[in-house]
Amino acid sequence: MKYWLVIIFLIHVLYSFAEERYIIDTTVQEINLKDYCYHFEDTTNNLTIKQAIKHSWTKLNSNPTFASNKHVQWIRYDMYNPYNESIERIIFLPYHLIHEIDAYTIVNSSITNICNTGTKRPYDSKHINSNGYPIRINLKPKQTTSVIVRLKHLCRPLRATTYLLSEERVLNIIQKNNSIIWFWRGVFLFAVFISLVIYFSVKLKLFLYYFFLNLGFGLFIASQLGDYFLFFNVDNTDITSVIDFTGAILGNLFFPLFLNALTPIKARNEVLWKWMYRVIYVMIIIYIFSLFPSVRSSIAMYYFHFYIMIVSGLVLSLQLLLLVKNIIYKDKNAIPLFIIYSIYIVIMFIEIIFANMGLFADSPYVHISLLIVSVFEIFSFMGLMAHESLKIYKERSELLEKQQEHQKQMILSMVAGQEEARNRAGRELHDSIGANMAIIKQRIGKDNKELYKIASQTIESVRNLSHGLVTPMVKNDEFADEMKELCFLFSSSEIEIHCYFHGWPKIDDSEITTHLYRITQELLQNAVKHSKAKNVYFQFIGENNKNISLIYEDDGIGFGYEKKERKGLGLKNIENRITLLDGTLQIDTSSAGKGCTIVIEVKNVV
Amino acid sequence: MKIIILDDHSLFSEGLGKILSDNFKDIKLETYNSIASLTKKELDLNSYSLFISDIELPGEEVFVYLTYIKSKYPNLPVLIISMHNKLSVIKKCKDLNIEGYILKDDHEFIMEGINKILAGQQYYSHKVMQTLNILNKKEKLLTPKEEEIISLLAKGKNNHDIADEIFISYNTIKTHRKNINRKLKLNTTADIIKYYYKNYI
Repeated sequence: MKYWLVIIFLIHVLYSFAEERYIIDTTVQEINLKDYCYHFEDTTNNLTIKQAIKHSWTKLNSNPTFASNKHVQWIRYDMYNPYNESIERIIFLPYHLIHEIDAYTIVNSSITNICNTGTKRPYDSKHINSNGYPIRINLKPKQTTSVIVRLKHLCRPLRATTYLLSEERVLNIIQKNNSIIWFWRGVFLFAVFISLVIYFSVKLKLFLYYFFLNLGFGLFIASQLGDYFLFFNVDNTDITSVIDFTGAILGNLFFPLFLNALTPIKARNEVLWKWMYRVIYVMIIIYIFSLFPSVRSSIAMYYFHFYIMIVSGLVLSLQLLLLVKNIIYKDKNAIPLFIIYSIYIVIMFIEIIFANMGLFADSPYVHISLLIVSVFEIFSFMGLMAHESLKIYKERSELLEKQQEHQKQMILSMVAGQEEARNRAGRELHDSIGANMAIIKQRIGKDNKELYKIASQTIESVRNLSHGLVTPMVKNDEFADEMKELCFLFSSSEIEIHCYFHGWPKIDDSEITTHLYRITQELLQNAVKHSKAKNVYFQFIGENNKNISLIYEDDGIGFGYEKKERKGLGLKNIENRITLLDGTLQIDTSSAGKGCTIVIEVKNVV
Repeated sequence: MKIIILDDHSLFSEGLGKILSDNFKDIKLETYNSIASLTKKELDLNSYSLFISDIELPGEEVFVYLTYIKSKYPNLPVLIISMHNKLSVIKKCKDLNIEGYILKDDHEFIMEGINKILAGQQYYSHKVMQTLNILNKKEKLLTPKEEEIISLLAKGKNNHDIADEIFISYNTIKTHRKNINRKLKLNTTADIIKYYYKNYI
């Protein structure tokens, strides 16, 4: 029994010993060292490594993440190499903004500085490439090696999750990370570029919001990736934090606008919307302050950053609620928007806000889920916008169609009104004045030759006048007769009007024949009044029993149609009627006196 | 002798009645101002010698009624006395075999017309005949401009040359060409030139 107790005790001791230092296992390629992490906070911010060693270290049983970081943090990992040969391993901190990282190894009380890196350090010493800080260590055989890392990153959240990786694993991670990061960069640039181009070509505000939204989040994510350190060979921590702010604020400012353009958020929540924007405007004021370098280097920045983080979180989650409200109101776009938005925002929260608070551990693939969800957001919103703008264009073209229809209706009622007035006047003239004149003429008798002649002439002119006024209700074969008569009536000793019919179809629709009659009448009136022509040739030609052409030719003086010369009521009337017929009008004339040819074509009259 | 006068214009009916009673001794006139008032009487029109009617009565289909009379009482002569001097109207009357058509202002011919009709002849007054003659006016198949175009085609000119030469636009020339083809039922330029040499030279 005692024997067993000893074994249990030994196992317990061994286990607790194992908790304190990590025993290297070469079969393990990747391990998060948080379970072996010792830590102390340097409140003086200027301890040296020698002073630090003597400091009392406590075990940190969580990720080395410090949300409100005002001091230099020291962390230590003890590693034991049980093998007979030395082992090469890499301490890997996934990439975040960390101003200064100094790493030391202690073997048998001898201190070696193995790495000085961080974003505030000269470019050459930065082991960064958007992936992380790899620190190469050599673990001596049968020895315990302590790795001490000094982390200086003031007034910002500090995330220093630490992995112990094999070299092979690091290369693998970097390769994978890079392919995704470059893919994201391409997609981001494409989205920003294309949305701006589309905005300038179609002038839909939606695309402008999308542009700013993605520009904002793109700048923000790029600063999280440390992209600006890649492209500048100077310390640009400062600039990076400004760009980071710019991005966050653009995102906050334009996300609600973008959502509102797709589903009515503002109109449903006027007060909330107003307050939301007030909060966002405060962000902008803070941002403007942070543009001054002296403010940026002060403690104010710590609170600014805190404000922006909290308010962004509030604003972004508020919109989630507003989208839910719109789903309840059954807005069509609200459901896809909610799905895309919630995925995006949840990942954003996990990757940035919650992770900054230490609630989630960083994976060695730093912002991979953020990048994937960003690509997802870019494409899905683009799809949604394409759908929306197609809808808008459809509506617009429908509206245009309606407008044209309306215009046609207006012309129609105008022409109909004109027709009615003419008819009334014509009928009155014919039936009462004409008929009365006939009686007067009869009463006068042939004895009073002068009066008799005047009466005859009056009757004739009343008849001709009413003839021109009353709409002839002509159909089918009668149309040709009516036109021939019209041409005959307009003919005189000065002008002869020749009328040709060829292949003319039977037109049942009296509306069409009325239009054609009035057009002919108008053209002939113009010919008689203005053309000074001796001959007018009027052809009525049908084709395939459904298409018709009216061809008017004269040998008169012509007129400057292009210069709108003489484009009086008559021509306007003709144009209106052609519009109603869906026909085409072609006028070939000049003021050079070479006559005039007018071709009117109407398709599918039967 | 019984005569029916159908006219909505009472002054005219009176005048006409006066002329008729002045000219015929033994005459019985019945005047109606609408078809409705006439049909209400349910007359046997076979007993009448002449039916004088206007061609337009407000709100009534005179032609339908005339067609009915012409089929039911083929022996009753009908004379139209109307203000209308319209080709389509006169042609319709002619097609209905209506015996006479006189314009209201041609009253001097009324007696002549009635006498002729009572003698079993047709009577369409001079002015009415003039209007009917419009139908007989025959035009050539092609207009002078079209003839000019085919003569230029025969000289080997193309549409552009022709447009320049007769000062009309290329599009108009194309329209003309299309219509020439349609009217002559020809398809190719060669056929048109052939047509030109056959008919114009």
